Amino acid sequence: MRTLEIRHVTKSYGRLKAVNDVSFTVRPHAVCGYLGPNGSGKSTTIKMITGLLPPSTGTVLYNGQDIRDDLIAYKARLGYVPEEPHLYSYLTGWEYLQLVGELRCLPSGPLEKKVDGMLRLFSLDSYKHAPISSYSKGMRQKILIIAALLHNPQILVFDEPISGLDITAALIFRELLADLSREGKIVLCSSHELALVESVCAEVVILHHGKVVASGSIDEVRQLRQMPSLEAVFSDLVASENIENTAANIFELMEA
Amino acid sequence: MQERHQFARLAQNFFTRFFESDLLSPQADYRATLSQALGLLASPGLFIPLLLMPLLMMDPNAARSWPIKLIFVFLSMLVMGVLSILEWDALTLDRRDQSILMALPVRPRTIFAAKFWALAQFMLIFSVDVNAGSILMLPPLEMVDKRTAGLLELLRYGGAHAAGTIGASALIFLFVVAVQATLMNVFKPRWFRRISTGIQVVSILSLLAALFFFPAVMDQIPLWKQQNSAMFRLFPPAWYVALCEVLQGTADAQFQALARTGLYALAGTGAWAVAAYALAYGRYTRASLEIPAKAAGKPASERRERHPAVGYLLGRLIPNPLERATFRFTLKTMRQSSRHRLILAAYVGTGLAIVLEEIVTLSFRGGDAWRQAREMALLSLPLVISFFLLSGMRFVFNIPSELPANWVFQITERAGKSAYLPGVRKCMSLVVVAPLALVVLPVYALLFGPAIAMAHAAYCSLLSLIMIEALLWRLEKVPFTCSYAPGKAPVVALLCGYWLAFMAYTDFMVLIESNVLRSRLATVTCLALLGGALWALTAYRRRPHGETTALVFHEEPEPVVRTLDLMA
Repeated sequence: MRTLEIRHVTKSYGRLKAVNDVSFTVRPHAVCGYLGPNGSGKSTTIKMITGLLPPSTGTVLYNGQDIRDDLIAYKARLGYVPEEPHLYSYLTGWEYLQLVGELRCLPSGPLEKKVDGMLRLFSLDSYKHAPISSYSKGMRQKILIIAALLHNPQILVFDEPISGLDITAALIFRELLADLSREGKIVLCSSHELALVESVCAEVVILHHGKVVASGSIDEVRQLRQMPSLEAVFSDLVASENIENTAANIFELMEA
Repeated sequence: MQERHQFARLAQNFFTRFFESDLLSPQADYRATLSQALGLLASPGLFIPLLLMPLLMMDPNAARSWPIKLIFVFLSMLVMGVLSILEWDALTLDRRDQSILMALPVRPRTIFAAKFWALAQFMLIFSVDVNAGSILMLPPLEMVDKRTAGLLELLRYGGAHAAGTIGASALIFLFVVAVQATLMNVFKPRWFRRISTGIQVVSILSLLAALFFFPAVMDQIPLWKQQNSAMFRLFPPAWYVALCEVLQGTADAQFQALARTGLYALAGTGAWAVAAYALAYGRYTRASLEIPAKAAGKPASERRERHPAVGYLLGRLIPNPLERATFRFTLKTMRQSSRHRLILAAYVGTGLAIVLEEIVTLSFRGGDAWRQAREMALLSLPLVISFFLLSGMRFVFNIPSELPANWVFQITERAGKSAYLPGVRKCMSLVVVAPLALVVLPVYALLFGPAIAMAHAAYCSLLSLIMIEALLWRLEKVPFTCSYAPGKAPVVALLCGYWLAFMAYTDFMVLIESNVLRSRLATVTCLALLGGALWALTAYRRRPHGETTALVFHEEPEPVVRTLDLMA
């Protein structure tokens, strides 16, 4: 079975270890949720998984092979939605997707049809010839999602995919994740939206201070921590302070 | 008190913004950029007095003569003019400033005053920097034979020279600010943005043309002064030379009148800049914040849509999708990015100015020898344009556009540079070689007859294609996608390299061509040799493992301390 295996991956910047000995496996038919507070090392791990950053130590294996042995072949199978919607803003949505499709070496006829179809389904049809600079955050996010799906990749890595999406688009995306998983794609989804993770992900990895603090199926993690919900598990594992107390302290400081 | 603190903080922020750039490598420090810019801009003011030193040491009267001072005043205006045009976008508050500052409890007048103060600081620092060399070196040379002159007189001379050169720099800077502010008042923000690029391009071209025509002006200007011609009275550098002369104690009534004109012009332009800027400020602030919403709300029919035939044709001409993507991306970025267009315009402007200056100078001379020189100048015209356009394109390829968006090239990378660069070559050929050949054919057919026109078009096209090969030889990046660390190549070596390459590509090759064109056999042989050279270069590049280098997306800046890497 094809798997994406992250094995003892560490990323150091000088003496700082942004990611410290992280290991987990993403399997087909089981969307893996990747959780953690801001600055926990999620995006750094994701950049290593996508091949954008080399790990300091450890390996990322796809089908048992180190992805860096043939990075280009690996990238050809990968679809990626980055955390920040950095796009060439002077291109139109249509032109950007055309560029991505061509960089993916997709044949031009089917590519144009696919781009048009995707733009229509994501309700961007009437904006497709407007420059991306005029797009809202949600529209840019949709462009990123379409760009990641265009070449029908085997592996999908989403970093905060529903950030900025409207409710309908977010619901559609949730369904899409389920469909991708059913089709046997390897899907890793990093998100702060615990509701999305709980509803779609079969497995979850929780990262804190660059280390994995919990992993397994959502039920396993819940049972292990004896908590009723993923939100409670997450708070228990990564919240260094009492949430209510912190909120009260902020309020006090505001008034000071 | 609070307002004063806000003012100071904002002024500091606006000032550093002049040196901020999203295209620089993340490791590149803005202070390094500032010091490099200061060094680069100060160098002409330092080098020209050094070059003139032997002449001026022998003849101190020459150092005291006003035409010598005119060189420095003109140079100061030119450099400051180019700098102001390059900083065009930073002269006003942009949307980012407005969206952040409008939400804060800061009075608009504080923001306005801070911005204007930052502009004044910028103007003063760079005016002094540009002219520092001549301010420090020229007065001692002027006084080399005045053995009794004391420090006070030296300071008076230095002060007069500083007033003239800095006044000239200030005038052009304020003029650019005033023109920009006036345009902001006249046009809606969207139109203002559109015409801004055009104005920047035209200004750069004009300033470069002025540089190349200046020697001719220098020849004429003593005569203009003698005749008290309007050309002299309306020539702004003359106003500030006059100011310098008046402060040094001249009794020349003509200079006294011109110095007054210079001061009035400076005061008037300053007042115009402040008034227009103040008027534009509120209006533009409100309007520019509304732009994105309007753009997004435009109906689909109003937006640019590519004709299907273009896509079909492109698919046929460039069947490889990777090449097509690079081709389209390169073309589109050059078309859309005003920064890149501006740099390219500066290159083309230099080329055009060189050719025009040569042709205009030669057209005033008669005789057979000059006729031949004129013909050679005409023959070199397409090569000069091709040289500057191609080397300009090669330079702008290094300057990234929306650098954070380059992740898409990294994530889709499929092969080494060999898969991407053919698209860039085709783009350069389409933008430069094809139009050049299309223009050369009819124009030279009219000038020299169809046979020479065809030979010349083929000659220029082949040379341009060879130059493209040479320029892309060491390119290891998709244009506009790699971070840029400025100052890696030594400026003097780079300029010498450019000059040598320019002489070889234009003068030397035109000399060969003009000899070869006399015989049909020689012409065919020469074209065949050029074709062979191009084929050999292409074959060498396409050899197995010839261009397998991986693409580069991040350029490392020069290390602060260079090590010997002995442990590696």
